Amino acid sequence: MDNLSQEIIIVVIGAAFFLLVAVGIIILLLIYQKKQLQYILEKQELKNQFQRELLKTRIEAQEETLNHVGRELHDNVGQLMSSSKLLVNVANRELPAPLETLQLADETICKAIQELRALSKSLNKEWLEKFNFIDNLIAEANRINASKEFVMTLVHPDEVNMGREKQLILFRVVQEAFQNSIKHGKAQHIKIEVKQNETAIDIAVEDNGKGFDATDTLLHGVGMTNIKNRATMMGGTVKWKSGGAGTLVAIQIPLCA
Amino acid sequence: MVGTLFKWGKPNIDFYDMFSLITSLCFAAYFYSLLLSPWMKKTVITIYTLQTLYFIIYHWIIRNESVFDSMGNVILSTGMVIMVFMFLYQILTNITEESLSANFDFWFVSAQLVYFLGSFIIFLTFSYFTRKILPVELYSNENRDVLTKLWGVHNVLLFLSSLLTLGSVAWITFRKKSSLL
Repeated sequence: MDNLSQEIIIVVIGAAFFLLVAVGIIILLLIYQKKQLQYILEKQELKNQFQRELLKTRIEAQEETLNHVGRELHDNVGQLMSSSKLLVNVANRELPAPLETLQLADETICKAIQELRALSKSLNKEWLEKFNFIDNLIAEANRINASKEFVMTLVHPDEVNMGREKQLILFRVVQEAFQNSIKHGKAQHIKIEVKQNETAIDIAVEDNGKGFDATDTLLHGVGMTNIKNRATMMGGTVKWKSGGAGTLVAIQIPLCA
Repeated sequence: MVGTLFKWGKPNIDFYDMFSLITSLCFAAYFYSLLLSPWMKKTVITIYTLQTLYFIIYHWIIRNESVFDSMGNVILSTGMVIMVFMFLYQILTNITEESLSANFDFWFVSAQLVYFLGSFIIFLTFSYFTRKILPVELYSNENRDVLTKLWGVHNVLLFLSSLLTLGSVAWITFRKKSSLL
């Protein structure tokens, strides 16, 4: 009996040992997976951070280019047009009776100079940074409505709670969206609705253009990629909805990001 | 088990063997669906085939007495432990963003590891002890009780395994509900 009991005690100890081994394996696995998961998340965060930095650099480079183009338009092309206007006026004065064609040319050049100035301003980063997002948007709508070819309506709050730099990026996003409506969608009416709550800002750019297949990624051009990149950089999202006629671009940017 | 064997004079060993065979089939099917790589699936099929072959050979050719089939249960436990380790290896090589503690399969498989690895040594030695106390000069209530206690340890392991499975279900449900709130 004693011999049997002793043997059974050894077996029980053995079973307890194997049980501890099993429990140990489970605990080790849980710890290992937790650490691996932490490592993966850190790696992912670093990757995201790198992507954001890359996007930021790219956007800064784009801004610099736009800035440069704006300055060139104002200082170079603008000056040339002003000179042309001056020459037209001189020619007009030297004629015994003012020519209707020359007057029309003078008016056209005058309009072109105004358009050029407005365009130059909208591309100029320093100029943009003096105003907030809403002011820029109103100015842009006025510029577009002045052409009499398009109608742009705005629904907006008094201001948006964002840093100047972010407001500028957001403005570029919206600018790109309605430029797409005009250029590619051949839209006549564009409606921009800006809504803001405590956590996010929602912007809907809706047009009555010809629309496109939003699911076909081959149709996504540089403009759409720029919109997406800029929104992503601010931690936001962009969705395109187009059912044949008209397009809706829904932009959401978190305010805390 | 031994108590039942002598109380009613009719062995319940066949029931245990049949239960082992069904367990082997169910777990082979479970692991076959759980494991992803082809070599793991082939290993599961091989383990199940070996277990079934052993069952057929043992019951129709080798067996000549009604005692606990230690070898059959050891083969079952070894197969189970191999399949469990293959699953754990799969988890380690495919780490996802989902926490392991929220994975039911992990807890269920861990519970099987607790039971089969813990019981391994009991399965291995149980027929040896049964044979040891069966001779008339050694058979006594005292010896039978000692052996019953050993089987009791096996039952405790089975209980722990079930508790782990049940606890994991409760934990996962609680986590899901609290994340919904």
